[in-house]
Amino acid sequence: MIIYVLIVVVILILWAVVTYNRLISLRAHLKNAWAGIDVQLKRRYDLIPNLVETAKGYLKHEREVLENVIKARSQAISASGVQDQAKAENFLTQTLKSLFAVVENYPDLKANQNMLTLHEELTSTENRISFARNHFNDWTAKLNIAIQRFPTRIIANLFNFKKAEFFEVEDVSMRRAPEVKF
Amino acid sequence: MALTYVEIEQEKSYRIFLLFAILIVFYFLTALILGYILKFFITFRIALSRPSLSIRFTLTPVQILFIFSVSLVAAIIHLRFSLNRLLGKFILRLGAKPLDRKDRYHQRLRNIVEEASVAIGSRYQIRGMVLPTLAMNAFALADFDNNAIIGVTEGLISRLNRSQLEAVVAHEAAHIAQGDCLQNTITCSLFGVYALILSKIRNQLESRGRRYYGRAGAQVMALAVVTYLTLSILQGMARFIKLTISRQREYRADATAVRISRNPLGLAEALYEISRNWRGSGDIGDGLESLFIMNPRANELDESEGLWADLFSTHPPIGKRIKILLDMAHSEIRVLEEKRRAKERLKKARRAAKELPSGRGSWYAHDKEGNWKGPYTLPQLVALSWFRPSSWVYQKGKGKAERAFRNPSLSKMLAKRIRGKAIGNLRCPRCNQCLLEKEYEGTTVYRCMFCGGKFLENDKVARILLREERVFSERILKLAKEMVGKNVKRYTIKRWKKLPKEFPQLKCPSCFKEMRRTFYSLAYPIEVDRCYGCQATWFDKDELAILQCAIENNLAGKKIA
Repeated sequence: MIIYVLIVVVILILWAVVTYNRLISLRAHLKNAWAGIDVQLKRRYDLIPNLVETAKGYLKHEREVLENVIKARSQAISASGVQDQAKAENFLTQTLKSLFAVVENYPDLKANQNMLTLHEELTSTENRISFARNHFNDWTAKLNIAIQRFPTRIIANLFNFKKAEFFEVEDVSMRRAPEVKF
Repeated sequence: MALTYVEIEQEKSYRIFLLFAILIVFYFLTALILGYILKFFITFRIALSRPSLSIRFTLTPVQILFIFSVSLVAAIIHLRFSLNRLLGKFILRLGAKPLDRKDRYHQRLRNIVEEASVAIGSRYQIRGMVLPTLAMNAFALADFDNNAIIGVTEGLISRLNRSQLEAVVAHEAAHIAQGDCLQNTITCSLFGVYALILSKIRNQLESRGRRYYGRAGAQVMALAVVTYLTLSILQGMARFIKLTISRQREYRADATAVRISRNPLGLAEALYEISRNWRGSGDIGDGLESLFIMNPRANELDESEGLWADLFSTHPPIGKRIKILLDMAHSEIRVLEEKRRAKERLKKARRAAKELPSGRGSWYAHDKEGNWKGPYTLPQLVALSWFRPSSWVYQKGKGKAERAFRNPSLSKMLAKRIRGKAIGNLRCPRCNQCLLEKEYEGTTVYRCMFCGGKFLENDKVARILLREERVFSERILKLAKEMVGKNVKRYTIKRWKKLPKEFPQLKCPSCFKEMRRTFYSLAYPIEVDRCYGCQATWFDKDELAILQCAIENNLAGKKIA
């Protein structure tokens, strides 16, 4: 009888170890994915001063747009935590969009070699951020599912594994239903 | 489908193991056939000389074992050689070049490749490369150490816009992530070798065959023929291995590419563009077709449906691929065709717009012989071959003549030209002035600021010829037509024998060898100066523009003649 009980206990312990290790590796992957986003965000911060420097000479009457970009950048740099970071990044993306909308009106600036290169680099960085974000969110979903599922949940609670936050795009224009005009 | 690309790894090693097994079987069968033939001949000879012996054509078990061990050794040697420096060999064979950091288009490709490698996760180290050819195609390679290469031809880099290029790179990245790229690379490496050796032997036989005389020559020939036959058998069997490269994987990679880039229309447009242009048949080696996004050789099998085609072709029908993608984007092929026509119209309109300012010049200049020439517009004036900063100029209605550098607007224009980075040791072969590094169609060329000639390294020529940023005036178009027409007649009549002697022979700016005045190619017979030492080309003023214009508008020699 005791032997059976022992066997069950051993199996349970083995399961607990395996599950714990799985959770640990999921968390490590998530951290790695976040580092992937971080690299791309830094890349964008480094590009912005150059962009502002190039645009400054041409956009003498559009000071405000440039100042917004600078402000958004410094906010994004100082942000911490996934939610805050996401919010700051969304704001930065918005200001950059409005900057490029303004640039459209200045053909000289648009054709500037520096500007062309910077535009390409920023586009590339935006794409990379979005791909890295997909990656990060995939791992977040995996971790969250694992933590909330039934038997695994016990281990997760026992060792205090927390649900991870998603890196969300807070784009107002994406959320709003399109207007219909007749 | 797996949730992340990192998860796609299964059954890869299994498939590769299968390939190795097939390879050994191949060698064994070939060796067996050869063994039987050999045995047959030997027995036959013995039977002829000593008819009393009984004749047995079958092989003994010991002989079969011997043949098996020989084929095993051969297979292992083959494996080691084909897997050693896998990517390097392909790069050499395809002639792929690393990306140029100073080139804007190349920089864009580098960025896109990096985006793709972020998108499929960090397992693979993906490098972008370029094939310096006018063809439009793209390929992917991967090896066991998770190094991967996405190669794109100059044609694709220059002619596709960003979203289309993103889609193509995403398609190649999908192949890499799904693991079928590795399988494909190895298959090509193992079985593509034969095609290469075969074509070499064929060339040797055709060109040198007649030079061998006597007994030694006959032996060499016999050896070559035997090798040729053996390899032919092997290649015939290698065709069957292509069964494992199913056309399904192209559909799958298309689907994954759409998942990555979220832009089915971009991929559809890219495929449409590729299918409308030269895809590199003849330029891209035998047996490598399955590496590319679209088969370089357009053939009927690819375009047909049914079980037979599904089994034996490497690529699915282009029409069907595009249609699937267009359905995803809720669009139709009609839209793509309309877009293409609109592009043509835009090009025409831009050409017309370029024409306007040329007639309205008001500047006159004093040439070397002391005559007043004009009227010119400012840019024309500055571009004149004899015009120097010290030349005398005169503007209509302004009264006095003055030195060019004294005039503020003129000196500004001249200064603009000098502002480029001067390359100290490169000098214009006509004016003996320093050549400046200039941006031209997204890449850099060396340009003489006085005569307007351009000096290009060999691999930059193809890039520039493909790119369409620059708009050409009607004058250039007319010149191009005239020149192509005239030169086609000349070379068909005189067969290249004598090109006009009146041109002085120029010295190559970089290696100082004498350059030869030749046609750019038989299809586009525009005269250029080419250095056969360093393969660089010197274009006199307008020659590059004329050549670009001829290629852009498809004024190939044959059509006009």
